[in-house]
Amino acid sequence: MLKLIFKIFLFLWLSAVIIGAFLYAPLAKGLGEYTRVLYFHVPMAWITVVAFLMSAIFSIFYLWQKNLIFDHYAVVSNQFGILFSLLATITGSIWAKVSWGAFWNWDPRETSIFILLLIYLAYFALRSAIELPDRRAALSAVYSLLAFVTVPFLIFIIPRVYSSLHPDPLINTEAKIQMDGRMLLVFMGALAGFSAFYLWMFTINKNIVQLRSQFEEKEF
Amino acid sequence: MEPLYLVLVINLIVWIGIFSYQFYLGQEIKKLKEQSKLTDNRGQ
Repeated sequence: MLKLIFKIFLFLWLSAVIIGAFLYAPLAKGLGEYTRVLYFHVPMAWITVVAFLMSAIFSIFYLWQKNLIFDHYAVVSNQFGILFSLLATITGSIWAKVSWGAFWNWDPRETSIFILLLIYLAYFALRSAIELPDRRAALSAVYSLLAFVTVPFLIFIIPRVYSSLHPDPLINTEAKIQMDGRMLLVFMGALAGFSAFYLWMFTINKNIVQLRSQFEEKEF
Repeated sequence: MEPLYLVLVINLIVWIGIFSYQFYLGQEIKKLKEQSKLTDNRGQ
């Protein structure tokens, strides 16, 4: 029952975020109607980081307990990380087209997300190259941990070090949040809503993984 | 219809679609889990 209430609440919450983004939040100067991309682009980038962090945590659990279920969870997390980084890239490109005149400009922010995508796509290339499940899981876990070391540099540090056309992050270099109150409300609502939606997506996939491993155990 | 409202409606339709699919998937997995538990109990 609680789960059903959570799902209904989440549906209403994200519907309100979408309506709020279009009808309630004011537009930012210089961006006009395209300000609304902000409420979808930043949460996608945020979930990318969360998904890759979860993958690193599951990788640590795998290396610690040698239980293949954690390897499967790490794979699911990385799949979501790639999906959401692609969504962040697409929404960012739409924004770039309007603000900078082209979908892709090799700006430090765009270059860093591109490198991040390549690093995590290589994770799946590595997995497909190893047949033995334990060996594949161990090497993938180590790779996933090493890959996650690059995430803070590529997402938070490099775009702040090099001059970029990208707008100031939400918390700017002066550690202040400069955003209209109504925009901030919708933005925080979007962050919370999409994070909850991601957790729900992850739970479903986690259940699929559990079921699959149960069936595999029965087969043997 | 104004373009703003048209885009809003499209966004809402897409969101309802994604949510419905996710909900359906969750229900199907729940059924499979219950079936798996039943099979295990019968086996014991």
